[in-house]
Amino acid sequence: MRMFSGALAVPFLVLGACKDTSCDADVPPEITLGQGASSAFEPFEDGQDIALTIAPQGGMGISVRALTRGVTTDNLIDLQLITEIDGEQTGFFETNGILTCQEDGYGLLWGQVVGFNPEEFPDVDALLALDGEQVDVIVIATDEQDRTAEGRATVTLRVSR
Amino acid sequence: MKRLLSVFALVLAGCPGNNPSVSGDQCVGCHVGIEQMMPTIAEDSCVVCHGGDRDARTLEEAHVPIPANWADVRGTALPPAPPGYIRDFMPAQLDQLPLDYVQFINPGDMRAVDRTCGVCHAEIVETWTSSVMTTNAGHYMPTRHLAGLQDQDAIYAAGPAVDPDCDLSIEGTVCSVEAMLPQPEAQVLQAFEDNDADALQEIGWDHYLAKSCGDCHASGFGPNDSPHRYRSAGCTSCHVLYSSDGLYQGNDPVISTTTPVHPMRHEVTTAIPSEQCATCHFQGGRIGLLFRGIREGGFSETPEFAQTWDETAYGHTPGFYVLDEDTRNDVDETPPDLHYAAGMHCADCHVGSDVHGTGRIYTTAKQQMDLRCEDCHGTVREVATPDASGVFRTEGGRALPQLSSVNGTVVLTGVVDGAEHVVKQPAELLADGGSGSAAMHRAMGLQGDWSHTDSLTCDTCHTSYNQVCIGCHVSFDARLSQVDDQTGEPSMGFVRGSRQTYSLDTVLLVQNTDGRVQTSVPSAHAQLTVVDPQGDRVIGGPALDEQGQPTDQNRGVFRKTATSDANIGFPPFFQHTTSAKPRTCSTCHRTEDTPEEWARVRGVYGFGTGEFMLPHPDGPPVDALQFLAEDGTPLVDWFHRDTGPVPALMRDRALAIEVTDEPPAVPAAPPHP
Repeated sequence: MRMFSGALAVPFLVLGACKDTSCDADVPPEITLGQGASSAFEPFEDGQDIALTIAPQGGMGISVRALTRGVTTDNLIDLQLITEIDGEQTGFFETNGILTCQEDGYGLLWGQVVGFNPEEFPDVDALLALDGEQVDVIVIATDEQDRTAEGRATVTLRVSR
Repeated sequence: MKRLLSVFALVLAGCPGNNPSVSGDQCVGCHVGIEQMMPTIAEDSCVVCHGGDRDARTLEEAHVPIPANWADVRGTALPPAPPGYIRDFMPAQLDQLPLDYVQFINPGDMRAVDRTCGVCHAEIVETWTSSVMTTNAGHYMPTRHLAGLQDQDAIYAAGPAVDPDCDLSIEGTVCSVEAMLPQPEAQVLQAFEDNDADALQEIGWDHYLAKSCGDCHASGFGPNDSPHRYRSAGCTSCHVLYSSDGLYQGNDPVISTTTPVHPMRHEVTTAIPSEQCATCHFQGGRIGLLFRGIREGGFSETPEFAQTWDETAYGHTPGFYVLDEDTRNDVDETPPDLHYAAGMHCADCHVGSDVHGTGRIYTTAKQQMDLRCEDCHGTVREVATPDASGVFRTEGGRALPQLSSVNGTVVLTGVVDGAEHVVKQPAELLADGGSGSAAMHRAMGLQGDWSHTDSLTCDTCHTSYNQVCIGCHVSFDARLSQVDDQTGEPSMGFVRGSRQTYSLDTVLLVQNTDGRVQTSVPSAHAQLTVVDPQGDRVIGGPALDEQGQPTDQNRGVFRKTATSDANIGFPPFFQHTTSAKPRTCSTCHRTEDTPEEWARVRGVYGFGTGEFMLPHPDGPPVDALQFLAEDGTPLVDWFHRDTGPVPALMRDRALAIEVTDEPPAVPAAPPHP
């Protein structure tokens, strides 16, 4: 994992002096999906094995973090959490959340669980059958100004952790 | 691209550091403005709790260094994290780290408390480490007992504990417990090779317990990966508060306010809100949710017009929890407990040995806790009164510091907000000139020397609903691996639980440990399926229909013992959905002399309802709500001693009574806000 400490970041800040690194910069909306704990963010790599997160005493989903630009931070935004397999939607959840402004101008979202429709995956056996499946994880963030960023990552589901 | 949003950048940017004007503890040279953890510790004495070097002037010299084995201990099962991050470590992982580092990150950790909290609170630390809050023992015995794997005394817990002063004459106590660890792979494979059904069932249940029940106890952090379940470990699990998003909201410029997991403020408190308790108590009996008017849905079909909680919460997808069953009407069918609605919190009642233990190792929470409604509300005969020193106490002698007597009125002062609540006393309401309604006199008043309250616990009637889960299915699949909650290491076998459906209007009456009648929440219908490494189902199989013919539905086997072919657990349970509006008389008594009405009321006493039939691979379907045969013979085992069906004499007397319901004097709860 590469790390950007403050010291390492200084040259980049100098070279990019003209770039607006504030969280409310007027830049095209973008969103990158990944994983991590605490301050870590590691983007999903295409096809990467990702464990199905097991919610306590039942329920499963993919634990997702997201880094954003160009979408309002520190305020409630609308979120759509979607999974697709072979282009068919397998999970759709609407919620809201807060993109927390980071000092480098990115918004960070954490703790979201992108899951599967309970009607289609009503029991454990149905979820276990997803082991090894390629799943598209999609997060759509829309702020009050109707700026929308759509992040998509294809991961390989592993039913274990 | 891989990147890290590093706190070190904040340190370099925001830390005044190396500040010659700072005298004494140099920590506050960087941690300017940090909240004082508690008044009794000087604000510049960070090292008293955290260790480290108070005289150092650089982060590297001041902080306890990241252990050399940190990365190895973290392993690959946990998500990527910045160096030194341990706030998702399981107990055995914390055990492997140098104590100085564990203390540095979390001085409240149970491994470090002799150096920290225990210096002043030695007695609490001594009892707490063997309490159910730490051992979580109550989650292990019932499942294993009903499966015929042990008696009613704890053997296993989330972690080991020894009580050198154990006194087995104290009901429900043991001298030691050991950590529940999943059977190793070689043992699992041998059981498959031997086709040993008994061993495989034991493996299935033990893996389920080790991999599902161990991450919510005070000796480890838990996953800290989802809104509403961020917490610390040890004393600080409860006494340092976390926000729902895990963010710091204090004044220290070098603690990140933009990434989790940090306490809300650097402060210890006894004013613990229910939301903090629910970071763990959203599972098990779900009382941390039900108390707040939140019902678990998710596994079952969500009612069409329900109001769901549309947040990712407790690791579940948005919409998993239900706030109101039917938004078309003007009542909330699943309201918060009346105490919560009044502004009270868990810590208003559950203090002292209820949470810190007594030093003994109890098998279940029911045995450790001694609180009864009467401790605050008195009985129908007498109001609650303090002792000679003015202290209100439980029947067991535990002090209830929130209670006081103000001009003869019992008042509870809220531990969180300091608000005062008048504690209603049934004896006053029922007294001559009291404001008790006719219905209250009829239900609770003395009839001769007897009152219903002599035979029933208060919550039997004053509960707005019980959430009864029907048809729990546990599967163990040897093709997959899973981390267990003690070691943090993956091992062969993936276990999951699910349920078939639920009921909110089921009432089942059983006998509690004090001999009175209480409602049961049958939480243990579990059936087990075991799948071998080749994917073949070796335990469980096609469910049989009423004629004993295989259906296309697969089900696991029921737990069996010498006395039960389908061992469903029916524990008496206080659901924490207290309501002022009581159940009606016809809940437990007939309203007419018809076969249908007899059948309905007999169902309340355990003769079955036929409403929820569980498919069975070894026999005909089993009634999920039945624990008595037609002739009254018990069909199941009971995992708490002194509990069981309502005694036949009492049951038959109750069944013989015919009643006419009166309209309730108290309106139903308004819709969920």
